[in-house]
Amino acid sequence: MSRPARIGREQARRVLAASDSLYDLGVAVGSLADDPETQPEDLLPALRKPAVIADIAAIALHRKTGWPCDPRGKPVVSHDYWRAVLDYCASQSLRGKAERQSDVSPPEQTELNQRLAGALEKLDPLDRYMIIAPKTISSDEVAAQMGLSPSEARRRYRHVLFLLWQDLWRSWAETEPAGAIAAQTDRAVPSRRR
Amino acid sequence: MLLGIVTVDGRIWLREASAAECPGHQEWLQQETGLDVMGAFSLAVAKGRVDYLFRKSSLNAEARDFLLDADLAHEVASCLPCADGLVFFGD
Repeated sequence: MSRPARIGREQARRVLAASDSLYDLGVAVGSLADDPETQPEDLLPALRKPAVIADIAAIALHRKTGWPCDPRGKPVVSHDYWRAVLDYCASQSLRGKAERQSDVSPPEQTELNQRLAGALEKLDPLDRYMIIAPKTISSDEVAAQMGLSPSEARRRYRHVLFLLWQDLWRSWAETEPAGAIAAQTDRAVPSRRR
Repeated sequence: MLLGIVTVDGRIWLREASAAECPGHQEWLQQETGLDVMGAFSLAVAKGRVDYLFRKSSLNAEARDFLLDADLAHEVASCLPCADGLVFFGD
């Protein structure tokens, strides 16, 4: 009859994958958060649950990985993320724009980082972690937690980069002189705007 | 699951966590301004008894590891109908 007890890691993982009960999810995420053996990927599915669950998971992830503790808060833009955006731009024949970004002065880089942080804030929490923690957990591993195949994982990763790039470009368009934007439009506009 | 907030005047506020209406503490504070928060916690409740108390909350940003103070957590529990063997997550 006495229910209170922490549950084991494997059981907690199964609960996070299958249950919709906030009670069960709470016991699972609380048990995982307190277990020193818990790996970051064990907690990732909890980020998709209601905030009362996601908060606990995010704080535990923050302790284990140093990632931002609030999945809805302002994220930290890492160097890896910056490189990923530039690589994506290059792969999409947006090299001119990418080179222009990498050639900016430090004050401009600060502004760019702020814009990137703004774009990241709009992402789904799990997508955001997939982008900003590429060295800690691969995009394939994260996407596997989302039930995607490796190829789907790569597509998702690129799609998220695309969304970020698109959002960044739009924020640029709001502040750049009209002439400068018109000159860049052919290369820089995401395909769906053509 | 219940969301809990302790305000600086010593009051304990509880509200049901609901995916649709109030999924977390932050959303609660957006809906109800004016709560002078000292700490936050959550509860898992079954059959009228508190089975688990969660000390972690992003509202405890000033505290070590985002944990509600242990003494305060036990004080909160003493005011509630708790199950035998109540578990404090975060201890």
